Amino acid sequence: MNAVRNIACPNCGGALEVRAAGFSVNLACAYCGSLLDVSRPEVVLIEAHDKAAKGFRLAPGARGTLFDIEWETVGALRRRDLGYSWEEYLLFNPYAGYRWLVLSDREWQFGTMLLDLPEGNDDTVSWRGERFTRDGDASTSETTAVLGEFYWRVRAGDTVEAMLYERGDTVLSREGGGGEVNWTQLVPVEDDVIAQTFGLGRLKAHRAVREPSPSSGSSSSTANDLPTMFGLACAAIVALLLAMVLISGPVERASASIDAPFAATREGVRIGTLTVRRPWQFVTVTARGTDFDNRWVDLDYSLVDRATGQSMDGYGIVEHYSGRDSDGSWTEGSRKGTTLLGRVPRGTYDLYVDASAHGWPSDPPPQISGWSSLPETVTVSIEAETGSLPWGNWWTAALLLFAFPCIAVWRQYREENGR
Amino acid sequence: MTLRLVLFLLWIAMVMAGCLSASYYAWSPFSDEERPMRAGGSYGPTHK
Repeated sequence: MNAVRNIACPNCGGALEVRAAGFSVNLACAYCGSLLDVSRPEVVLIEAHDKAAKGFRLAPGARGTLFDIEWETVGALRRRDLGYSWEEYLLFNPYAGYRWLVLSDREWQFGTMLLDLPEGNDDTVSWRGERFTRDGDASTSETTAVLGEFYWRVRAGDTVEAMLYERGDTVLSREGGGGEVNWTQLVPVEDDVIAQTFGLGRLKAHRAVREPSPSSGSSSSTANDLPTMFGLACAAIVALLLAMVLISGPVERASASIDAPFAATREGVRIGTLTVRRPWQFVTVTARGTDFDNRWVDLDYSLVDRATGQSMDGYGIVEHYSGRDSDGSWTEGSRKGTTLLGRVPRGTYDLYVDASAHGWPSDPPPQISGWSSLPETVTVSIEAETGSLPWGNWWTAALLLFAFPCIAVWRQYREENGR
Repeated sequence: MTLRLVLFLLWIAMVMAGCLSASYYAWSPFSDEERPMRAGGSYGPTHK
């Protein structure tokens, strides 16, 4: 084959060949991905592109004989339609002209632009005496990656309206955009044939989902199970919450208040009795301080088994600070603190609390009342509860469940945008 | 059904089984049996 023209990319200086010189209008630089106008003697940079359209199965320059004609791959497009993406390769032979090779849904199709146009309406068309019926609704296809050279001006972001008609294995694709309509006939080609012709490895497992949705010279799709995955993740996280509620119960509560002194510890204040009725249960202890500021209260909990005298310990804190600095006023901390005790076995327990209050930056001085000085205290109400939900576990499960489809979205995005 | 959907269903089953087992045995990595370590070992505001 001939009609080759050597040029240099004005963006990166890479040496390029225009394989269909005189026919090609656009060329994407094989080195930097920049889109060039090669229709004029002087090569013009249309769009500098730093993300080369990598990841195409066929590289420009790949040659092979299909249907007794030797074709050279001169261009490659990646296109998408909603959640589906596919690849289209422009083949060129100086005597036979252009053809398309479409890789969609892991199936290959060979496309020929039609000069004798089909006739009919939106639902059915006739072509060469055969009737083709519409397959699906009209859709908008967007070009997401461009590599190589083309006989029309194309760039990422271009869109066309596409409609498919089928009869048996043959598909007619109608694409409209920019005031013109193109028809393409697409026929399936075995993967073995393409692999042998272009020296490629065979495609792996077939991913079926949608009929090819060609457009002026191309089409097809990739299975899109992402909405299903997100739906399943939502259903699973709700089901998990319900199951956790059932497993965690029953609920029993005990509550009391405690005055925490400064510079001392009030020890062994009994809050109440709790009964764990399942083999294992969580117990949460929630402390709520009343109106205090620039103070913190250390809380040591002891859940003492009445039968064995053994104690399970937990720790909590309530703290709240505020002030004003060069950035304005600020607050920090919370007057509420929750402590989670896990793996509490079946039994009856008394909950005891040791509490000590502290001031920031220092403890407050004793209040003088009459003849004596009274130490200031911070009042904290304590509520203990069996059968509470371990929300940390639930949020972790939610994170893990949604991580899978999110990674799938990311991988698909990378695939569609040039890897 | 795609392969990754099958893998995702297995992943869901695994996560749910793990979480429900943890609920049954009342186990959580977020329990407060130990006093949390404070920055610098002291209390007080830490925002600056």
